[in-house]
Amino acid sequence: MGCFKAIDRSQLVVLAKTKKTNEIKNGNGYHYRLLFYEVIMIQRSTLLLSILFIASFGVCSAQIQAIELEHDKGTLVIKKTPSRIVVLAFSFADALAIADVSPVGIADDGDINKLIPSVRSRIGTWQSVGSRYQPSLEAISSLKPDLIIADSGRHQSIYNDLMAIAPTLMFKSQGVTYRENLQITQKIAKAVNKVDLVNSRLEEHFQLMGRLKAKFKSNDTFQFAVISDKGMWAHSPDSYAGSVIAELGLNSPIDSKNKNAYISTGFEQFIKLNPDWLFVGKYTNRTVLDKWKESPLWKLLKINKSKQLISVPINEWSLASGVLSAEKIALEIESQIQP
Amino acid sequence: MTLSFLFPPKKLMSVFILITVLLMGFVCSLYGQSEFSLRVNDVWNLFVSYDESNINQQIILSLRLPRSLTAAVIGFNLGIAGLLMQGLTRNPLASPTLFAISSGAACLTALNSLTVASIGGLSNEAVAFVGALTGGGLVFLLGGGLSSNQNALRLILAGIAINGLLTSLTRAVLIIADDMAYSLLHWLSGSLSGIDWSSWSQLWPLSLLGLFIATSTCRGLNLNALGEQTAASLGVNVTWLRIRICLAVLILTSISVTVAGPIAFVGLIAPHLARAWCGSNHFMLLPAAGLSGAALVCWADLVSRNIIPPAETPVGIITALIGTPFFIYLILKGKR
Repeated sequence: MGCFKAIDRSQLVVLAKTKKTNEIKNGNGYHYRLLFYEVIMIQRSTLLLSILFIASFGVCSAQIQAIELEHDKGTLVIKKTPSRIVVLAFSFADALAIADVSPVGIADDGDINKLIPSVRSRIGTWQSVGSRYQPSLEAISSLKPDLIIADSGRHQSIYNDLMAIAPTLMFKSQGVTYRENLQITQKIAKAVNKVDLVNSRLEEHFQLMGRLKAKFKSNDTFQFAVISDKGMWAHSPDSYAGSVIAELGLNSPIDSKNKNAYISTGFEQFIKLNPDWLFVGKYTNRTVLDKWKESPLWKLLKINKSKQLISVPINEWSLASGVLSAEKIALEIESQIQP
Repeated sequence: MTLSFLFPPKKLMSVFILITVLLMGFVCSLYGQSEFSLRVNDVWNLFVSYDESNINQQIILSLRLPRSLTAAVIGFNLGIAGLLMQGLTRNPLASPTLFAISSGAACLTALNSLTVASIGGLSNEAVAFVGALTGGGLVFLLGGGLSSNQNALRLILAGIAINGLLTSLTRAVLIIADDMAYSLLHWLSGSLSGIDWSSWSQLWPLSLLGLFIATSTCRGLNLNALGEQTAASLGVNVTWLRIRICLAVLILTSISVTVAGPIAFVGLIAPHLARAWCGSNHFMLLPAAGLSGAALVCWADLVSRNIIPPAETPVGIITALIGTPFFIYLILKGKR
């Protein structure tokens, strides 16, 4: 933090000296007034100043290069590596976790347990900035972030407000697929200047996924669905968990023509899907499955015969949508297929 | 003689047409839009040559039949409840929604799903029913249901106030719940997708009771149409009539909302359709409003399944889509 300030100020000092003024205006329209000691510094020997400047330049040269990043709202220029980042969706926290960067604020719905343990263990403490649905702008701005990463779906309407607080990147999080999220993860790595670290971590990830894909080789159909007492929503290959399953070379029982990510599924539709494996994330203790089990039609289902109905943590399979959660999903499937 | 006065042949014809429309909707919804390519033959065979191993017949018997029956009865209930409300308040824009029954059920169900106010380990249906009764009961008491000095406006105002309170509570819960809200929203729009025989067995006994009470109010409603004072002077015990009407609306709407969530606008449209065909005699209107409501929900359910198959669109969205233009039509008609 201090390092960035030093560069900033030292750049200012140099600029001020060449322009023979103690006030600088940068491209964003911000005015900087030189501090008293900086004015004194200008008057001191040029040699000392150059040495100081070059030294600080050498230490932090990586951070000075401005990065241009394409995101869902155009292009954002990041002039220095952000250090205080606020994320408004879990998938971005996952992306920062593999870049070894701790966000200062997360829209975690006020419940730290909503973040999956593998992400939580990699990042330091953060402050909640409210719900993902409606994050508190006040809480975000009180954290004085220098970068905000928001969901282009949920936070479309507050984009301008977020931009007023700090430079904001908008990426897809809700309804993102595995492949889309990989690209987003790489962009976030670029934004926080951790491309090499993230690439090497992703290499590990691809090896794991590749190993499991080669291992699975199954003709069975696999389905993940979230259930509650009000109904079942099947996650198709256009959802995150569904696309991870597809990435592992496993078949989906859902017709590929159906492009909805989450499909509201009644018992009749479920009988038609009739998957060999069903992974369910439960929102409530009692669910529609308990009701369906009492129906004579339940006997027709393959999961009834094979007992391949597995309850999984909903946070990892449905909410997280990140690289780390994809690994969790893949490993869970591995442990179930070959116990 | 009296009978032909009450049920003139022309109006009986209208009821006959309504029954035909209902039956068509009922049968179509038994086999329409299925992943199993069900046909009308399967429905026929279910009744004439039942085969336990036939999957199509099993699907019709275990899933489609309870769903269509429930749709019809819920429509019937809501249609009658709407008629009673409009008769009681002598306001053509009144509907069971006014009684805050749906919003009461929605509010308690939302709270219960979040386990914010887990209500003594009751089942979801019981919680929704308690919520419905609470919402309706509050409006009834606040609206001066038991006082001898009746005022329809007071009931409407009480309904608006309680509805507003309960709806905002539900919204607060939905915002807090976020990802849970997704599953709740389906139910809140009124959905028949989860119906099975257990829902049917919850629905019919109370519906029958509500229907009995509703039938007993027909004569009173006919006289009440002339104004409360006239009705009282003709020997109607207006307070007792009012209590019976409110009780019937409460029972019929509560059990319908409990089973399928709040299905909007049926209680508003059905009585108007009935009035257009069958005049203003409540002995005729009651079955006609019920049948119109039943036909409406059956057809709306069929349409709702065809919008983005195989996914289910909540039936309440379809009835609202039909209902809103109808509501606007009523307003414009009233203006003229």
